Amino acid sequence: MSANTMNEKIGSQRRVYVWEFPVRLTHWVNVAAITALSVTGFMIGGPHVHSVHTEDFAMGMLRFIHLLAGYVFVASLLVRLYWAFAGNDFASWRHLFPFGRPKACSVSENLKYYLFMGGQPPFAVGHTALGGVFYCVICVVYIVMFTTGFALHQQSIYPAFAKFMGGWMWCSLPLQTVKLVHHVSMYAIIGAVVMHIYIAMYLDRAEKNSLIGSIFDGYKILTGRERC
Amino acid sequence: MGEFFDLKYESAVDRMAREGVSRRDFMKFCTAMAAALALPASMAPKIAEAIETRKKPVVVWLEFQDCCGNTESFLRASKPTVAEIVLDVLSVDYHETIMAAAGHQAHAALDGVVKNLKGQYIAIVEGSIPMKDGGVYCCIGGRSAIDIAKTVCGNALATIAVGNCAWDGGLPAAAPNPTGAVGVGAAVPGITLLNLPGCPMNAENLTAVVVHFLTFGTLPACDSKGRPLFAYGKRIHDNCERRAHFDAGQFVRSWGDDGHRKGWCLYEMGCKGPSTFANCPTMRFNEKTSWPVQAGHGCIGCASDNFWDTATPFYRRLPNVPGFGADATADKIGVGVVGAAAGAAIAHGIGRLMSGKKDEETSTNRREEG
Ligand code: HEM
Ligand code: HEM
Ligand code: SF4
Repeated sequence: MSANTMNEKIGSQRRVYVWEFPVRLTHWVNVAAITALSVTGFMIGGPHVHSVHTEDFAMGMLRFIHLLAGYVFVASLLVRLYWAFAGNDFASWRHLFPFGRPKACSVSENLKYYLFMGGQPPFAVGHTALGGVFYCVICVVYIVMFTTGFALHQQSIYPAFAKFMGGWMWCSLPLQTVKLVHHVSMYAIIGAVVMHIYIAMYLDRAEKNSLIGSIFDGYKILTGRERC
Repeated sequence: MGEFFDLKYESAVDRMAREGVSRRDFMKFCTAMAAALALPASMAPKIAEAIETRKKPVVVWLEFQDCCGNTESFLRASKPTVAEIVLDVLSVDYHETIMAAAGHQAHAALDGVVKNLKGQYIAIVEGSIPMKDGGVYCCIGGRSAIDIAKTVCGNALATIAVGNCAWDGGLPAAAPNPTGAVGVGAAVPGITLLNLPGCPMNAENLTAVVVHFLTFGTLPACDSKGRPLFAYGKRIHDNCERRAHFDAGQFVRSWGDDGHRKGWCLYEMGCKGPSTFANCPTMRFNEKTSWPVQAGHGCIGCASDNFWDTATPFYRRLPNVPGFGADATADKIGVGVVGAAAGAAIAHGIGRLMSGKKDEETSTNRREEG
């Protein structure tokens, strides 16, 4: 997949349309949902709100927002899942697995570069190999997150639906354990987001290809050094 | 069901007359039982009729690795109540703690029931059954618990496992489970079994099971873990009288603080009500006097599986993370994970400033070439 799809020349720069609208939309919906889920989840699970009046509905509201954001999050994941099959090559599910890439674009080459062991910036048009693996791990954490979330939700109103949404995966475990997994996985996501944003900024500077811009407008600038 | 019932005891009606229980009290009890079993109130007369006319099923009560807590719960030392008389319709032919007979005499009673009433008596089991090393860790009269359970439960019409230990091994089965303790279901698979977990079980639920049995001749509907749905189908948190304080965000933050005195929610004090299924808030204990949360202590999740391992620490909301020390809460570990990620990013940034300059130059040069 070299830069042969939808190349455009704008002035002296050539651009390529990498992230189609559904990819960008789901990215930012996920960012919003995960932010809301983490803030409310943290408040539900850790240092709590402390109301004065019994008529307040602070905890109830937090749980309501958490569940609402949870549904939005799952809906967004479903759209992205669909687009992994229907979208362009850059959006394909295949990039989650680092196989079939030329040596120069392999995970080990990426790692060498990040660890200052020589090598060049990845200059990938789509995801880098390492990036793909990273998103693969993120996907697994997402799945753990929403299935445990629904397993917890199963306690209350729509047990059958919550079970259908993945709660069944955790049915045989004690709820306290499910809660712990749900709670700890939040930190896995936040840790991953920290790395993700740092690497995005880092690569954006190193490659000068409008990497960060691309997740807003979809276009990356071709530097002429793309290897994969 | 002829000889299944033992005829030598006085009937429930006679007993109530003798104990001075009024008809009114009796009907109130029957209505409460109908409610407990989620039956319409119109079932109350049927229940009354069943209690009055059906004769006592023969019961043997086995104790293995236990603390006798369920026996205590069963015997509730208060004035005779209707419930007690209903439980008295059980003809308890063998119960180590309360029977008058001892030694060979007692064993003869047990053997007699198993032999003469095969498939017709009810076995109630309290305590866990050790499986390790051939079951040597609990022997009664020279026979291992597992051996006794196999004969007695295997030949019973039905077995009722009372308390947590008889359900899933309970305290003796808590890590590292030195005796290989298990519950009745695991020790004697394939029998007709009803579990009443809890530490101890609520005798009120045992009464309701008996009433159901007398009225319909069957055990009540159970969930996949063999617990009757009427008692274990609803979450404590959803029926708790402190729930309004939970939704409001009013929490007890330390024992005896202002919120504690005002009866606020015990969530922050480690209450396991949100993950425990039992009817404690509605059924309560000791003639509906109270239940733990009402008394100001969080639920410890004693009706949930392996609660000594999974619902501990009792005064923290989340379990400890396996493999880390007791002080490492999920949040501390989480902050460590995020901190490590941020630290790696910062270290990398600094590393780049120091060594990456050359790299950037080459990349710019190349671009000009390209
Ligand atoms: C909750 C926070 C975030 C999460 C969970 C997240 C997750 C992801 C995921 C899964 C992708 C792959 C896109 C896809 O194929 O669907 C992605 C791509 C991207 N994200 Fe984020 N993201 C987050 C926040 C951000 C932020 C704040 C930025 C801006 C600095 C950013 C910049 C990018 C860029 C530049 C890409 C495209 C790069 C590439 O895939 O190689 N992300 N992100
Ligand atoms: C990135 C995604 C998510 C994050 C970071 C997150 C975070 C959290 C946290 C930290 C808690 C508190 C756990 C505790 O200590 O008890 C929690 C509770 C919960 N979460 Fe999530 N969550 C996420 C997604 C979801 C989803 C998709 C659902 C499903 C609808 C969900 C449903 C729940 C429920 C039902 C609870 C328990 C609330 C209660 O006990 O009242 N979560 N979440
Ligand atoms: S005291 Fe426990 S069961 Fe009751 S509302 Fe609070 S957390 Fe739920």
